[in-house]
Amino acid sequence: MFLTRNEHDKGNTFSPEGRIFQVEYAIEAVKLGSTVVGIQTKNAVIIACERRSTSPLLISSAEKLVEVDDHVLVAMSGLTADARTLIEHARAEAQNFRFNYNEPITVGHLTQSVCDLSLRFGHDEEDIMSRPFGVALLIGGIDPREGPVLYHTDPSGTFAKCKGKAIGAGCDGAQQGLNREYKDDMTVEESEKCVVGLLKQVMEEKLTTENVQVVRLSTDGIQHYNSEQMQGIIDSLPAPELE
Amino acid sequence: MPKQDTPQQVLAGLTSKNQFTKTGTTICGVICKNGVVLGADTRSTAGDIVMDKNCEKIHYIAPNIYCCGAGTAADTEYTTELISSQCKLHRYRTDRDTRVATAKTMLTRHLFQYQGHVSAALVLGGVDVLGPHLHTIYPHGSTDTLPFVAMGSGSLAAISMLEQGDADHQGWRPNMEVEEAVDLVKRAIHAGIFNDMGSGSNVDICVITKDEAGKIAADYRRNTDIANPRKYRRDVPYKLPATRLVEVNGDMDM
Repeated sequence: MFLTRNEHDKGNTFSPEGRIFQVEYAIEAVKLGSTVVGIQTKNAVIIACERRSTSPLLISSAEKLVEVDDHVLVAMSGLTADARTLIEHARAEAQNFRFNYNEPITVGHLTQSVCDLSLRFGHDEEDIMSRPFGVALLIGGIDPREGPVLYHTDPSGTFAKCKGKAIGAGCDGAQQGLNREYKDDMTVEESEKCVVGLLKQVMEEKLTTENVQVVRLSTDGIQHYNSEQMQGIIDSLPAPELE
Repeated sequence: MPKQDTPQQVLAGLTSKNQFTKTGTTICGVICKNGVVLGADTRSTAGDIVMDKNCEKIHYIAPNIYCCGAGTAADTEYTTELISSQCKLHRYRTDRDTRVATAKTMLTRHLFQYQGHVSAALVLGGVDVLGPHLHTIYPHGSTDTLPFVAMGSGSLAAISMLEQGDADHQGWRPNMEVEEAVDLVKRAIHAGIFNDMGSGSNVDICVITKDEAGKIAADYRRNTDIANPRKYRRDVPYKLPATRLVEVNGDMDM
């Protein structure tokens, strides 16, 4: 797609056609990351992410599902190291909000605050970035006013509230699956099966309790699924159809 | 009318006399078997006037750490909330429960920076991976680590109950059962409530313990003892006498 270098390749420069190439390239970088699928229903937000292991000798890889506050969790895909600054900022923002207003932060407000960091390319700023963030986030949370919500952010600094979203390597296939299967009245169990099932379809490796992580956000808080719960979901998936 | 200072007193006391809400207070804490028990009275005063008959002096720092505060109410509230937020961020960064020593250090660094002008005298207690801990923290930033402590204007009354006890009860001794310790703390706070003018109303207790499995739980018992209930209260609100029509003055245009 991008075969020739351009003089308009800097992060804060538009091309004559009105594109910012660096941002577009950053969005491509996200597609190299491990797949994450998130779904929002009336009662909960379920997020499942692929845990790629490059070597059996690797003890642990970067954590892709991180808690930001008691009611907000962030899943990332792409250059996950880039997300560290975003996560740290989000955590500080959430605590500052609690301290100043004595209530949990609205998930949309938090998302906007995180996305504002993507625009640090001006001349006056102290923390000018050398390159855009190469990571997309799924910010899931229980909004104090709206209940379960899911937001998607990308390197351009745009965000969107979603009922269902897939990011990372298998996002095209998984997103099509989400569009097909999503219903407004899905139960928590149905959405669990949906996200894990979609991951199973798009993952290169065979899905096990070791290479997938699932988390549920509800009014009961953030619950990371353990191996038994994971196995239960995997067992309940329909068997692959023979062609 | 409340007692007014003479002009000389006002001038002399401008730097030292605090007319904002100050917790003349009794707060205390004890170490018991597997945990700590914190106690506080619930009266907050501004000079001679009781501003709040049921205020909360035991502040949340972390799920396993609570802090009683004496001194200027705004200072204790703000300082404990600030350190509580910082501890939350610290938990995210380290992926571990907060240690009492960490909270203690954050509080002392803050107070020392303000050279005693932040008038917060604290009793910090909690249980962490290393066991139960209890500290006093003074406004200038110094600390004590003791098995039983009391702070505030009622601390003299409280400490005598903790140190010595009375005719019918013992003072503090090592390895007390949790409910024995709760009883001791209640008696210490009572001593402050009834013998110190700056303390009064009810007793709040907070029990933080670790069970055999290692799980730490905090039990915040708000108003565990309503020592000064309001005795006389009308059951019905005051009924104003009906307005009696005396005379109609026909001339309404004035």
